Amino acid sequence: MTLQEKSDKTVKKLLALTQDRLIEWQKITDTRAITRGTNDVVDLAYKAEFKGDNFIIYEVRYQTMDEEERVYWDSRVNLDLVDDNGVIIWHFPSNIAKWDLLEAVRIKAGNVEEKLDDFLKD
Amino acid sequence: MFSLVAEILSIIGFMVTLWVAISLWQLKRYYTFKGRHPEITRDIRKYSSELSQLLDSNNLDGEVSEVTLRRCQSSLKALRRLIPRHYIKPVKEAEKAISICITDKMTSSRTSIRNIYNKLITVESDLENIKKDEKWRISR
Repeated sequence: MTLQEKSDKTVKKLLALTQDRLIEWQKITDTRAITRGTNDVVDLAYKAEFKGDNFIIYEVRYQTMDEEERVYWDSRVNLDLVDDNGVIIWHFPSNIAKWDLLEAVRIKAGNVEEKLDDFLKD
Repeated sequence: MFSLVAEILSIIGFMVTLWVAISLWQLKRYYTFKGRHPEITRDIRKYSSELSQLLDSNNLDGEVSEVTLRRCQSSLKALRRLIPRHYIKPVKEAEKAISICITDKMTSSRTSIRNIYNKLITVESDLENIKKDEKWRISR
């Protein structure tokens, strides 16, 4: 199995674990360490520990240029493997499922479903 | 002697016709795929995202509708006819997973839905790779 295949499988597994609430994600509001030395914007990140490994996931907004050199804002999702001090060991390569993972993490970490259930009661 | 040359030339002519026909068929397939690629990619993203959202829910009350699965199957079928041959296998596997889910009435099973989702993600990754190859082909 190639590293890319292992990475894809890890993203899918993290998604399944998150959706089944078998892994807990914590909010990180201080994201300065993630964006240090760049012009990227990260409002919120999420961290989880599973079998001794730490993962962080976040949406990065960044400025880029189109073919006619017009500047515009774009975004991507980063999933990283980090050490106990939060230092990034490895960026997971591009994978479309990372967006679904981030969405699942936001819903679970924010207890969105429970909040909506409460709101809709009676 | 003359008839032999004529025979050889007609065989060569036939082979050239065959080569032109195959090339034309491949060109037609390539440009149809190129035109349909963004639309099919968008559709498959929509379906996989829908399945993922369903799995985000704590209880799977709102099971995936058979109509959604059949629409997804139809997009995959269209894709299978156009996609380069070495990418066909994951498309077929996704189609098969949907068929099994519908036939066995597993539309509310998390395992079955997750299996379809995972297969769709593989197809999406392949489509993304094809798009990247395409960029390289244009800029060459």
